[in-house]
Amino acid sequence: MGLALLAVAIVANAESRGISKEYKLKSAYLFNFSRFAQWPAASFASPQSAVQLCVRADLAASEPVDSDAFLAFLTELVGMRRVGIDQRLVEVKQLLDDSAGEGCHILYVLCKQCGYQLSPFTMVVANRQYGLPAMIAFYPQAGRVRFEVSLSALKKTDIKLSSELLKLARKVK
Amino acid sequence: MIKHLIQSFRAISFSQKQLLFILTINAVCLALASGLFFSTNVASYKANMQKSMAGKLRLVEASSVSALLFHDQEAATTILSAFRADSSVYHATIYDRDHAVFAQYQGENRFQVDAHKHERDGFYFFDDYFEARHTIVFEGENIGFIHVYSSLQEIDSNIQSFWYVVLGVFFVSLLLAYLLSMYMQRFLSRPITELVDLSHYVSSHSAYDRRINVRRQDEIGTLISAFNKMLDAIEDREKRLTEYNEMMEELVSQRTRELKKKANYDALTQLPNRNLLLDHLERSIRLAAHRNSPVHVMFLDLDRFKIINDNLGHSIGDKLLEMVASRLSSIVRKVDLVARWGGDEFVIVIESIKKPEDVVTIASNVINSLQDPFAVGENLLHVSTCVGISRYPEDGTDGDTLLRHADMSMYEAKRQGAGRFSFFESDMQQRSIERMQIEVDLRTALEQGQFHLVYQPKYHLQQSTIVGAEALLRWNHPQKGEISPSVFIPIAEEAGLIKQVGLWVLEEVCRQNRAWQLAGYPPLCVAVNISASHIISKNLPKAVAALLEKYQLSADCLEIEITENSLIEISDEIFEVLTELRKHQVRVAIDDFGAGFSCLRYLCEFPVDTLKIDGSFVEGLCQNKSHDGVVRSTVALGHSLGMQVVAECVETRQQFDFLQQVGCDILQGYFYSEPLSADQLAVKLNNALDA
Repeated sequence: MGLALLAVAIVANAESRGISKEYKLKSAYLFNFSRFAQWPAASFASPQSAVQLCVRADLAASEPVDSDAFLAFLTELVGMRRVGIDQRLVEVKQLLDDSAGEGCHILYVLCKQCGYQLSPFTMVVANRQYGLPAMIAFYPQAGRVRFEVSLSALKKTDIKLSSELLKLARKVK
Repeated sequence: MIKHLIQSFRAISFSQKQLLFILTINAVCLALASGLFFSTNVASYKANMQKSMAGKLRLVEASSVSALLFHDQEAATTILSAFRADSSVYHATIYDRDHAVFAQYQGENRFQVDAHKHERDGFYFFDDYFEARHTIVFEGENIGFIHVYSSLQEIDSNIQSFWYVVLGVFFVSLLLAYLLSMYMQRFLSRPITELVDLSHYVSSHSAYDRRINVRRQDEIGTLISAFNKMLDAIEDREKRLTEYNEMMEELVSQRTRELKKKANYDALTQLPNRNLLLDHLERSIRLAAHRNSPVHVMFLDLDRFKIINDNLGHSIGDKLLEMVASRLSSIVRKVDLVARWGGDEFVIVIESIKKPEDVVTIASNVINSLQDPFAVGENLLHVSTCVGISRYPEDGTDGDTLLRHADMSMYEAKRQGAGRFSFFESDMQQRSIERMQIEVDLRTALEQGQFHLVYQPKYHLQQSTIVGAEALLRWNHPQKGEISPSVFIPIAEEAGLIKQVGLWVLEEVCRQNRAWQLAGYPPLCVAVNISASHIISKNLPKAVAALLEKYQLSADCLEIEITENSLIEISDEIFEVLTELRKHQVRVAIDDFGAGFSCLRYLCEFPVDTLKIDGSFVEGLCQNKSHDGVVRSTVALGHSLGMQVVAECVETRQQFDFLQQVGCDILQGYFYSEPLSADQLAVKLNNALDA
């Protein structure tokens, strides 16, 4: 019940910031990905280190969503919730330049033409229409947000994805 | 209704009751067992169902988490479709955290789904379905819940098959119970049936001879033993009862014999009594009528028996009767019947007589047999008898008539004197009637003064003077005229009137004597005949003394004459009376001396003043030598004993001369004077005075 209320509160707050339902879902999905994925221990500085959820945004470029509002919504959504076996906190970061990106466990690329750095354990998430080499790509289907997983991209990383997640995803090579 | 049931239950047999009991107990046990089994079975089934459903729900939960998180309704629907394998699930729904339907599954069996009603996880059972609610949790977050409707039909069918099993068990146990009860019946009720059969046998045959073998030692065995013992007791009692009955019957028949004897035989003499006599007589008459032969009936009694009985006591009288009975029985033929008629009267019935003379012989034998004296105690008793004889068919054709006629004939014989017999003659009946008339008339004669006295003077033989007189009773019957004393005195004696008559005579004599004396005549001794039965009544001396006193007469004015026969049964009583009379100076004379059988020894002892020679001897004087001798000896005897001797019935000169010659003291008879009236005697006395 408490969580339900929390969710309602988050949605109400987000709406006040003026982000669409689509991005609200996407922010929820991003958080959920942290729950269904397992990163190598080496990717964390310590056992208590948080999962780094990074959003690459370009404040100058036109984006489908206000990146600040989205970041705020996402940060609020994640809050102090712990994920995975190690019960790590999730830390939301905004990346604003091309050099950044190293050390991110999940990197959501919000901007269409901006560059980013990768770690071997970084899960790149992007909107499919951007045509980026993402591991997980969002795409719309019948008014709903669906996602696909690139198995080849997955193979190149040290990330293990839960079968539950794979079950729901449209799998591509 | 219940009453009716109880009634029916009572009516059914023991084995049926037993079967009913077994079945009832069986059914109750089975019901209890099934109930318990059923409830535990259903409960466990539900628990299983719950458990299995819980597992399924957890699986759905686990696999639907990601679908929920990523809003993948298709995936959730796919997950729910796994319920297709379970036909009992009607409907399954996954709700998201906002209670909005996220995914649904609809089973093949349509089911009206209401909105879920329960806010808490759990299983909710209804009649034919149950609901399950399960919250979907992911990493501590409730992200939705599953709701399932599932059918309970499986349980129902399970229950149904369970009931089939129960019913099957029930019927099998029914069969087993029936078989068991048959066996039990053989074991339990057969001995009871045997008992019942035996009871029926006992009650219908009243026989107690059968027993039941005791083969067991339980309660039924005890019952049978007890029943057997009861039968033993009854049989024993029955046996004793039979013995007792036989004893009683024997006693009764003995009593009957005794009573019959009592009814038919005389207790004293053991002779047939009046009853048997009459029966026998009737039988004899019938037989005689058939054979055309005669029957003779002899009737007899004992002369002077009354005197003996009154004088010596009944025990002596009874003894005498016994002896008479035995003598009579000993002299008759075997075919003849001797019976006691009553008192001193006996009857002899004689049949099959060939010659009429034989009857005479028998009658004579009877008379002779009783002539020998009977020694009873210290007494030697002389009795005599007269026999009356009637004949069938001449004198009567029935027993009563024959007996009555024989009785009459006996009186006729008595009239002729002791030791006589007489055949019935038709005129006897007339005489008998006359006799009875006389008896009736006698009773009034005294009251109406029909008696009077005549006096026959007694003369002193030497001086030819009147020295006394004998008073003689005369009865002037109003219709029949003068009746002889020889006729009415015996009747008076039999009728018991003799004492009254005697007293009347005594008083009349005393009155007359006094009258003569007052008229100036010299004292005269008047003799009065007193009957023996009057003498033994004992109060005679007192009566005489009273009369002498009343008429102021000296005792020598009266002389009491008693006949010699009265003295034959000499007893203390007569002796006392005579002695008493003598004390009063009243003279005593023995009348008719020589006619009886008196013992001379008694004569010596008796207080007697005068002997009167029996008239028959006097009449025969000078014609019969023996009479002469008797008279002579009597005079000598009298004188030697210091007595006066009187001769009566002197009628001729010859007699007078003889009597004068033998020295007789006093004479009486027609030679001197016939009996005279008082006045005539007074004239004679007057003449004598004058002379």
